[in-house]
Amino acid sequence: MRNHGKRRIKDFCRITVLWLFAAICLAPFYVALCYAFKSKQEFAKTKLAFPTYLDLQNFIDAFALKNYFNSMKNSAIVAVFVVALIVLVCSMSAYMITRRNDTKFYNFVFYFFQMVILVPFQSIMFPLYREISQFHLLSTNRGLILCELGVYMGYYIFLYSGFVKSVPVALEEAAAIDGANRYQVFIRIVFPLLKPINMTVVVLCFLASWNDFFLPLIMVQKDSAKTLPLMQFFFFGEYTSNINLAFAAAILSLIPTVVIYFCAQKYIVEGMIAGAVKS
Amino acid sequence: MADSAARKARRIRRIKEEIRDFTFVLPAIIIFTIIIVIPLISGIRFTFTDWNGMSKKINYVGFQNYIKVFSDKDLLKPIMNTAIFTTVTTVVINVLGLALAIMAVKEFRGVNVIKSIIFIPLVVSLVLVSYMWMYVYSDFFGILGWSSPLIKARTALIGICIMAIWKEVGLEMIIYLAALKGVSQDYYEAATIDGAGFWAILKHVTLPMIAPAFTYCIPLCIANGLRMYDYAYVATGGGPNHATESMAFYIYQYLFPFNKVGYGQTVAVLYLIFSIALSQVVTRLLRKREIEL
Repeated sequence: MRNHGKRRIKDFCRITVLWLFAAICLAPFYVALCYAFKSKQEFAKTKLAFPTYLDLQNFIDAFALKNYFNSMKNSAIVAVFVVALIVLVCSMSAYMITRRNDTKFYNFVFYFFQMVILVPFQSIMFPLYREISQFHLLSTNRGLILCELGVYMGYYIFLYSGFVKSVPVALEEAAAIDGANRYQVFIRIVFPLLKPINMTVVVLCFLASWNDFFLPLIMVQKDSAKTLPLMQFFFFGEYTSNINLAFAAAILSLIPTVVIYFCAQKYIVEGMIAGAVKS
Repeated sequence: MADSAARKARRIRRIKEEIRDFTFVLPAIIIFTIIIVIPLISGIRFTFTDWNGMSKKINYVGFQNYIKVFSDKDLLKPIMNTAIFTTVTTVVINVLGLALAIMAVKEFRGVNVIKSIIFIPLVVSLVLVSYMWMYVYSDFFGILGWSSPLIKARTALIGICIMAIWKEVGLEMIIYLAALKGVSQDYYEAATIDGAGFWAILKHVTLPMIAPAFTYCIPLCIANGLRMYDYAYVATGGGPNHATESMAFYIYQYLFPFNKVGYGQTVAVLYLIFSIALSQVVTRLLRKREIEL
């Protein structure tokens, strides 16, 4: 009986600590929401007190900000293309390097891809910037898509390779005997089997692209080509006197990621774990 | 005759198959070559120049940049900052992540809500993380009567560490949680019957069983730490008085605003070699431990 009581106290402590920590995790969001939902005057009076009513004026103003819609459009275009191309290119190459890892050539390709993951972006950013400017792709969505592809690909090839290893070869062999070539085998048999990891890559890659700051900071200079994180940076710098507006704009740009997070949480978690625990 | 024709046809088919296989990896190889390999190689050329990044004429200066790197006292500060940031965040994120995972491994009502909450910061952009925390520090801390850690040189780096920990602890927690769930209950029961306490079980059962998770999480944290840039750029601008200047930030400044490409690229190339060497050593060590345990 005594033991039972002790365990209940322990459980109580454990759960309380976890809830407290969760509350700490939410605190910065609370501050951001307080700013966004209060007018400047209201905020000066009530500070961080719980908002008594929701003032949507900041959000309406945010939509009217110059270039806000445009940067949302840029972010969306870049993210969609990067995600689609990453899924295609990475799944194909991961499939081949895992299926043919008995040959010297594909083994070399595999190590080449692995080394690429380790290159810190800082050590290539300036020559890359020069190269992109020689291609006349600075401040264009195409240039940004190309750079993000190259910088992100290594990690997703790694994720895909781990998954392809667990896909049984027997089905492919049967199809090959029936006369299907590699393309047909890949499109009809392998790709559908990759669905769980495809979902993970779509979600992770979308988040990475949507939130990326450093790469666009270097590759995009014109306002017309700026993505959302650059715009956020600009808003907070520009509207130091009206932070409420900047926070409202930032929260609006957070909505797609939060929606995706809650819809696809399962896939994010599974993918992270697949990379971590199996390798 | 017929035999050799058949052999020829077979050979052609094989070559066709090889080419077809190669097209699977070709796009990735092309993109990597354009975005990573060519810049990497052309970057090495800049390290032997005193180029400013714009002028037409490029002077070759031999190994002068390399000599300068090793006598540059300004470099000590970013090296120290990066080392402190990487060590503090790696240790705290992993210890805290593991502790939270151990607490959450036994199911209770609401555990999924807690997991979701702790994981949310991961979807927020680093820019927004920086701004949210800047105002947490100025307003929330203001109510408590504390001053923002970001304005004092002594505490600014800690302020940035807290942002990074807040953002990434959820991910490590989820990974450790998955690893813990994979450990068979039998081990715990056997250890409990043998009279092992909480710490003994942790040391002899839990930690060895989840070693692969460490091999993933620790190098990931170190790599993130070594690349830290956004927080310094957005939240503090490297200040006050260089207190939050990281290596990545230092390199950026020389390459872009300062226009000293030759020198900046030299630091970048040396930093690349160092980062790769460090991650290899750490991964090897962790793998070795994994096997020993």
